[in-house]
Amino acid sequence: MSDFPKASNLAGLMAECSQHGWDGYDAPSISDETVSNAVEFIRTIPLSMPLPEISVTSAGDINFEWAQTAHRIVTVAVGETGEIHYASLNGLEENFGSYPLDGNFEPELQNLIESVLG
Amino acid sequence: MVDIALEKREMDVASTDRISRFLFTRRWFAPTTGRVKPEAFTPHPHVDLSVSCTEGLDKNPVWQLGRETAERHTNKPTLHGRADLMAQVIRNQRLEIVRDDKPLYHANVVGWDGEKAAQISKAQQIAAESKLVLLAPPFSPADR
Repeated sequence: MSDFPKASNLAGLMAECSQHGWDGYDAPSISDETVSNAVEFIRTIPLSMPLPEISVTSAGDINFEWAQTAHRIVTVAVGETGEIHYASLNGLEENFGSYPLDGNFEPELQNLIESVLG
Repeated sequence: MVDIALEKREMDVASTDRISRFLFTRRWFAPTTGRVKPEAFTPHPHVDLSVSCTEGLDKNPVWQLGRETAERHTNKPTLHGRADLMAQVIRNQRLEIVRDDKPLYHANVVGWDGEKAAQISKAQQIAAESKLVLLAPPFSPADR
């Protein structure tokens, strides 16, 4: 399990996105449930994995990103539902999927990240 | 049944036209690599995405459009830049650009899959084909 030294990023992100419309459009604020699920997801990231960048979407999800370039990238979205949604772009190859937040890191997701960063 | 009104509005945007997405948060781009992040193109909960049809507009009117968007918003967000792309990039993802000119030059990108993972995949591909244009210095309506 990772102790995720950049976890403080989540606090900064919450502060930035605490108001409705923080994105300049009409995004909802980040909910406590979403933050709680994001923390749960962080705990599942294997120690061997590089740390992702953290971002946020207009849908109010917290995103985790592993990127080599714009065309070699894996994005993981965590929202209120406790469902993990991910997508990968590796050149012309696209993959996406979802799995429940159950304390485990999806092996397929790990393979995609290693492939993109490799 | 064919939606004639929708088809007409779609035709108003040529595939080679420039589309811009204004960036009001630094979380949506990586200035060091000049990369727009997929989060900039993840649709709203209402499954649409606000963009501006900026084809034919010079640099100053485009930025003015972004400034006006910032000033209209209750939060008065800071305008950091924009992501530019050709309309065809959006259509390649089987999405439609519905121009409503409310406000002027505004359009919605519609037709997103309800499945979130599929939305992220499309957003990744659109972001990968977008060009980051930063505004220096950023514009903050609160500073006026």
